[in-house]
Amino acid sequence: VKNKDILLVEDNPDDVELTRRAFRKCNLVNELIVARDGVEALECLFGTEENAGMSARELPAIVLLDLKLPRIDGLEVLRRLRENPRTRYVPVVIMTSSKEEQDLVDGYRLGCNSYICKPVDFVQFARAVEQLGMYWLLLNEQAPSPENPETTFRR
Amino acid sequence: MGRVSGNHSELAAELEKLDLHDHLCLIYETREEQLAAAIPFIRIGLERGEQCVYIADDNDLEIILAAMRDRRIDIDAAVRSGALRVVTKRESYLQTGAFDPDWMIGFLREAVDKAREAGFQALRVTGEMTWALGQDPGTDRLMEYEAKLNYLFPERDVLAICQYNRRRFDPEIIQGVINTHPIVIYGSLVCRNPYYIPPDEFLGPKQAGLQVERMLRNLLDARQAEETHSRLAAIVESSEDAIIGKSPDGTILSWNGGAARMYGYAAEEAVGKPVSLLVPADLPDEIPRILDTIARGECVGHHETVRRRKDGRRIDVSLSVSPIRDGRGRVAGASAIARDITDHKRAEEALRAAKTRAESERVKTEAIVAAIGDGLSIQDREFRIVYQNERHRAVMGEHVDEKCFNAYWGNDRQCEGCPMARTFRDGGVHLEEREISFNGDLRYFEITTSPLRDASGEVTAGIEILRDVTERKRAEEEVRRLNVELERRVVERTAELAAANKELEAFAYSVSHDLRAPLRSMDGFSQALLEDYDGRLDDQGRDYLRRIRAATQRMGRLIDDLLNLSRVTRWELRREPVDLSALARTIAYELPSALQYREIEISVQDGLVAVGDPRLLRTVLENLLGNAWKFSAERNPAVIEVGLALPDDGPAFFVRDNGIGFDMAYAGKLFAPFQRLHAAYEGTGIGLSIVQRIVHRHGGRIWAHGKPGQGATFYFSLEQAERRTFP
Repeated sequence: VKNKDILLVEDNPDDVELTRRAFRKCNLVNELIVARDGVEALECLFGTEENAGMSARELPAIVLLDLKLPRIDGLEVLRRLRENPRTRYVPVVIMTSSKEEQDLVDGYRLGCNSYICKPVDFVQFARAVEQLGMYWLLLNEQAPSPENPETTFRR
Repeated sequence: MGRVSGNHSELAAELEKLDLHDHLCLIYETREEQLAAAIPFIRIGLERGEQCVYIADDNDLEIILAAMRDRRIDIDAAVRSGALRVVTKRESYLQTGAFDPDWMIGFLREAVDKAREAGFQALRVTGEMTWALGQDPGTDRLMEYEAKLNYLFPERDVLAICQYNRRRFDPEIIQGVINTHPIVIYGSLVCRNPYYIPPDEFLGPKQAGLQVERMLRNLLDARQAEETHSRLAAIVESSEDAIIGKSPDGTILSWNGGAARMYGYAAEEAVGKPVSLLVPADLPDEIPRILDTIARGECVGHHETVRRRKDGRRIDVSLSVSPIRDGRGRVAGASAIARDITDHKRAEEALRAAKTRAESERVKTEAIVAAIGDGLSIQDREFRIVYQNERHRAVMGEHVDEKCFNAYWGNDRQCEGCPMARTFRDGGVHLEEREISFNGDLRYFEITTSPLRDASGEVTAGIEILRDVTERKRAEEEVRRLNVELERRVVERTAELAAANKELEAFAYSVSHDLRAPLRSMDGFSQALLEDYDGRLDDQGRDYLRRIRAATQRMGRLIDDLLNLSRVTRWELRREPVDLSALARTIAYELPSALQYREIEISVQDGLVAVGDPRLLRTVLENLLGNAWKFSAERNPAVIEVGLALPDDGPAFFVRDNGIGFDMAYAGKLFAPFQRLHAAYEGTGIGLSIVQRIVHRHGGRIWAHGKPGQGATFYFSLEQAERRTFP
């Protein structure tokens, strides 16, 4: 099993900590990279002018994407991800507090792989994180790398 | 007596009609007959201020005086005044001892003149001629005397009756008497004498020519009289009218064919009967009144009355009665002419009734037209105003006989677009609205013109109706203004509502995200404390942390429910058939019965189909079934029923349970948000609010029945789907 990274796009530090704790509880050791808003998330994935090297990294095994984010929101991040051929097949799991139907519709329309509503109850939350980690990191076979093997997501 | 005769009283009346200069003879057979003529003759003369001379001969003086007294003649006074003289032949005809006609005539002439000089109106003489039967000299010249008197009488104020007893005188003498008197009294009748011979002829040598001439003339006169009589009789007989002759006492004397037809009696049945035979019992005074009038010699002019036929039927007649006079002018009876006017009367009655009806209709119509609230006017084809009712006059002023365009609008010709002109052109009804200043107020009038046709359908005039539509106009104006205002407000409100919805959406979105996140932190870190610091916490510390977690989770559910509530409001409603039976079964299956180790009997009626939004209806059933499940937790088995009820005000779906029920006193609070009736049971108090909103959004109704401890039934209908209401 390749210990690929997990990209968590989440502006709430509590949620970041709880997510990290949930992963820890189920012994998933993959590195959790945190982007605190949409802009950071896009930088992580596509790099910036100052930090071009980030774009050369290996793509994350999964992006856990919150929707309500400062600056660029989650749906916009998803749209750009799916626009770009390199990131088109990166698994994206929307993990949000929102149960708004419109969000669900938009999320799937833009090509998310899964949509999870974060429960208030931590026990349920932890179970959800464990299950999605197991599934996406262990069970799921990733799409083959796109045309350019160099363009992998690496630290 | 076989001969025609009058009675004595009638005779007296006829004697009244004698004129001066009349020279009469009385041919009598009895004393009674004699005195009945002679005595009244004297009485009448005395009454008239004439000098009366009675020459007695045949009768004793005493008899004559007694007869005069009987006739209420005041003999003493009359004799004293010289008005009456009763004398003998010696004092008159035979004064000289012998009879000399010329002397006698001279004597009479002198007597007349003396009477006139003494102040009498005339000389009236009557003599009993039996003196001439004596053997006195000169009596053979009696006829010469009688003939010559006819020269004297026309020239002097004198009249006389010469009394001849038919039984005493030779017929030859009587013949001469008849030939020498122009008037003969015989059988109580005064008769003009056709056998009279004028003195020239009588005294001259026998002249056959003159005699023949006289006889032939008399012949023709008689014939003519007969002809006249029969013609009159034929006219009477053939008349349609009933013509009845009657005596002065009312006895029917003649009866024509018209009378027979009209009254139903044949002539033989009627003649001789009193005329009252024909008069209905309720008019007893009528005949006496008529006879009185006739007796006075007056006519009863045409008048309407009622008569009774032989068959008892009453008929209306127009009746006139006139006195009949004989040759001497006396009233000898009466003729009654009657015409049956029953049909005429009936027709007249009908006509009068029709006229009355027509008149009352006309009055009514006129009253209606006059009183009508709209102005009404009639114009002829020259636009001349023929009629205006009160209201029309009030609005337009009084202008009858003027031309409308001039009177109303001050034009000198027919107005442009005149509706009346159009009506005259095409015979149709036309309408125009005009502003007219009325009582200093500008008001709208609707002018309607319609044709007035004569019997042949020709349009002869037009009716103009003026209706004040100002109020309607103003109301319309107001409605239009309000509509514009309303539309503007609707637009405004819609925009406001849309904005509010947007805001609400944003708010809900924010709530959805941001309110839950802190709860998760509280719950998560409490749990982390419990897990990581378990050893350092005592039981109370752990209990506190658990309470924190329970509270955060309850808050989470509250937020979820609130979001649901707002979502129900915001969601666009779809309408499609929904199989409620299947839906209810699915939801029942999902109820966590197994975990509760409860026995639950759920029965769902088949074929429940509603038209509505499938997701929202699912929410409804989830809540109602969830409640039923929750509040019947203590029942074993719990019985839950879903079905269709048919109350009076329309069918309704229901969900019934046998749970703890509720007090109807709180039924009003059931559907208010955050209201909970049972603190012991979990819940946010929002579920039924959501259900109610959904039902209302569908235009339906929801209500509940319950009793503490005896279960509850929730009914809902989605029937009034057409009615749009804001939840």
